[in-house]
Amino acid sequence: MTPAYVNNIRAGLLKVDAEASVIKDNGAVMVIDGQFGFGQVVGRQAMDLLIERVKSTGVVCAGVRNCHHLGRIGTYAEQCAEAGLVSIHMVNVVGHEPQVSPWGGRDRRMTTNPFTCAVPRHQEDPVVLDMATSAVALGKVRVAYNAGKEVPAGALVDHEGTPTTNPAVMYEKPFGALGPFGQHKGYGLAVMCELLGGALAGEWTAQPENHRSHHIVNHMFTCVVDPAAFGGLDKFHHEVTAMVDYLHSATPAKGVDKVRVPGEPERESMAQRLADGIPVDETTWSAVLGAAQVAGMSEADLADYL
Amino acid sequence: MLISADQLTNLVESIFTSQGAAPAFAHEVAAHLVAAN
Repeated sequence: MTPAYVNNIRAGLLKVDAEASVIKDNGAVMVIDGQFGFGQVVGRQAMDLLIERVKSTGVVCAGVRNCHHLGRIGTYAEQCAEAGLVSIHMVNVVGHEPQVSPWGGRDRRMTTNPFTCAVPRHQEDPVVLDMATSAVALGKVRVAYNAGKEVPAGALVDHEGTPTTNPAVMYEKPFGALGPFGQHKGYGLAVMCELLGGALAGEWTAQPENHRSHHIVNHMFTCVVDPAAFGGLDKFHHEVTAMVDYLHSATPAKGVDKVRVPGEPERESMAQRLADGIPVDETTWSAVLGAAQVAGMSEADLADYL
Repeated sequence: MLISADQLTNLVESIFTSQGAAPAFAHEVAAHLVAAN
């Protein structure tokens, strides 16, 4: 994503010094504008505001709108979970051409619209469901394309609507489309992310009346809940712990080493990559170095990284 | 190829600071992008 960020900074679409700004504040309902700043910064700032607010309201819902690419939405859910809070995040992705087809269609109408929910655990890592509502994340399609590999069957259709495993249909004409995960059910969730993230929280969906360029804009509907405001923390923590233990106790299916809960595979992957290094294909690495040069870094500056 | 998370974070952070981002913002964004990879 780094080359796209650099292009957007230089085009004035990404404001590097913008900060989250409260537009509406009705107590348990807030609208926070990211002012097209770095999504990772304004998203974190928005969560700071909501975490503080929920201490007095027990629940707070917010539209976090006009953020440049928020990145991994699980980060914001984990930020809430670290404060002992449950959170739900529904996100749409606008500002550029759609990439994901509706269930039953072959034309692109939406993007990968993430859905994320996290539940904190007592003295343990939280349960974190963090997923794109497309059949696979677009980033994985891009990695496969750059590496000359196929994507799993069932994720893509070509321009005639025929299923394909060739990621080129997303990047070379005639364009195909990425499909939703889980057939009509995943499609339904993607639509809700579009409508709640865009229409309710952001006022801007992927429909064609709205502006499209090479921008990457996220609007996010977020609901943060303090479990202490519901059935009590002791009961909550007991039930969450007991249920996770119960899930973990399931006998693994053939070929599976153990049963995990949502969030554990990602944490295992991150730990491995931090220890061993991050796999980067040649095309992606060249693009990052190219972005560095576009950004004005000299070959001498880059020598440390080569 | 395998690139260390620190090396990649430092490079991406440098790219963003060269574009006018405050160092703290650049580091936050770079660390997020690398961790999300």
